Amino acid sequence: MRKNLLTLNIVLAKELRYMLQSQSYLPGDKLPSERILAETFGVQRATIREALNELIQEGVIISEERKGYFMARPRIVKPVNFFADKPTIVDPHIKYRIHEFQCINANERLAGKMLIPRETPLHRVVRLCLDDKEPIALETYYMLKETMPSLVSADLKRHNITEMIESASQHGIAGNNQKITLVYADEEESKLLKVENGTPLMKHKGMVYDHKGQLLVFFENILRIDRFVFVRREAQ
Amino acid sequence: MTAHSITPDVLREMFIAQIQSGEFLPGEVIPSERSLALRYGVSRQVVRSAIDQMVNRRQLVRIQGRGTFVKKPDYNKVAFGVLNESENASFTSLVRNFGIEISSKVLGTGIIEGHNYFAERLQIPAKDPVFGLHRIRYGNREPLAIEYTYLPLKFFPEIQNYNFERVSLYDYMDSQGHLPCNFRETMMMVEAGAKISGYLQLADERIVNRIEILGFDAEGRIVEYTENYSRPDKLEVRFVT
Repeated sequence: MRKNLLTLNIVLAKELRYMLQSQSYLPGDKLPSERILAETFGVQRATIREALNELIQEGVIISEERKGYFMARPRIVKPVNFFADKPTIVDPHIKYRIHEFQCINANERLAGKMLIPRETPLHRVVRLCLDDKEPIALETYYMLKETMPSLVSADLKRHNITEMIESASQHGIAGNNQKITLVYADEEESKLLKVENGTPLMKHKGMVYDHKGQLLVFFENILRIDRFVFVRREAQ
Repeated sequence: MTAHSITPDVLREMFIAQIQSGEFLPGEVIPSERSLALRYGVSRQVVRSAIDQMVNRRQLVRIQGRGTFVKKPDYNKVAFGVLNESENASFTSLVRNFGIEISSKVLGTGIIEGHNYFAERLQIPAKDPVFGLHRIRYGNREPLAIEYTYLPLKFFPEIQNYNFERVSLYDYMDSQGHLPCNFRETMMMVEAGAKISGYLQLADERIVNRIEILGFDAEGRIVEYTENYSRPDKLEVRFVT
């Protein structure tokens, strides 16, 4: 029999998370002190501190020097099978600011990515996602002009851009292909997202197709890594 | 059937039936010639001949000095399942270079009970025992991911007898009638702590993919809860429908 590694220390951070959840701690709420938590779980203070650090790294709580530990703001949930989901709950703190909205002709890179002929007319939309005025994502969308001839900037302030595309498409969204990678902020991204040049960020890019296999949108979103969680629900 | 009528061909058929029924799992070591001869009441010569035939047909793999193993399906080579070994999981992290050889190292296993967190995830009473399996997943001997898996012991009462460095966890779960075939997954990036950084041999960059997986069997029961931490420079997270 192998060494049993599943000691309380391993699961302590999870038990702590469960406690915070079951006792309905809200964003900004202060956690009990290290001493009280150590007593509650019957462990050393160093052990509870380790568990608290794990929760800080996961972004569940934040630590403020000399003040203690507080609940962090929850991450924004991004369903990856969005078209199959019910519309996501609209967070009133989230706003969008259109940074760029223009018509372009597909260059070589876009033609290759979108499998369309070069010079195909496209809408290019760049918008900033703001959480209480704090920029948290920079979203870029490319749509065929042909499928969305009457796109106006008011539409682009809507929360769920795929929903908007679906309503504009005759066939509805049927499939997608997405990829999530780690990137580092370039000059423009760092300026718009108000982070330092070289800050690690998530890149979420993908394609959305309709029932006929026609590409509806190609998107490249740059996200703050501590503010988002992607969720895929089980098939029905 | 009497022992005398067991020819190498017959013995081979019996082995194959046992592999198919899940008595021997892919990657599992088969018993020694001597104990097989005793078990089937045949000579060691017959056993050896049957095994030779199966090695020649690539049904078994012989590794010098280690024993003879049930052949694993080749699918690990494409590595769609570094995360959860299953074609069904579409929130799958793909190894960038196909053709990578995947292996695992078990860091530890154990049984825990009385923890609310796992009870809530697995939807079982807190007093129910949970089997935990902590593994490092390697691609070409380089650490790619660390995986903490927890299963309700009630579905897998004999799980402690298996070595999941050799046997695929999903093959075993399948043999018990609880193959996860439907998944609820969440993915985020987090800063790795000292322990995960060490296992994954991270240098300066401390950001890792963190994927949580709940696996449901065909009857809709939760049979798996996994936390997977992987290196974003080695694995990319994809979602395809």
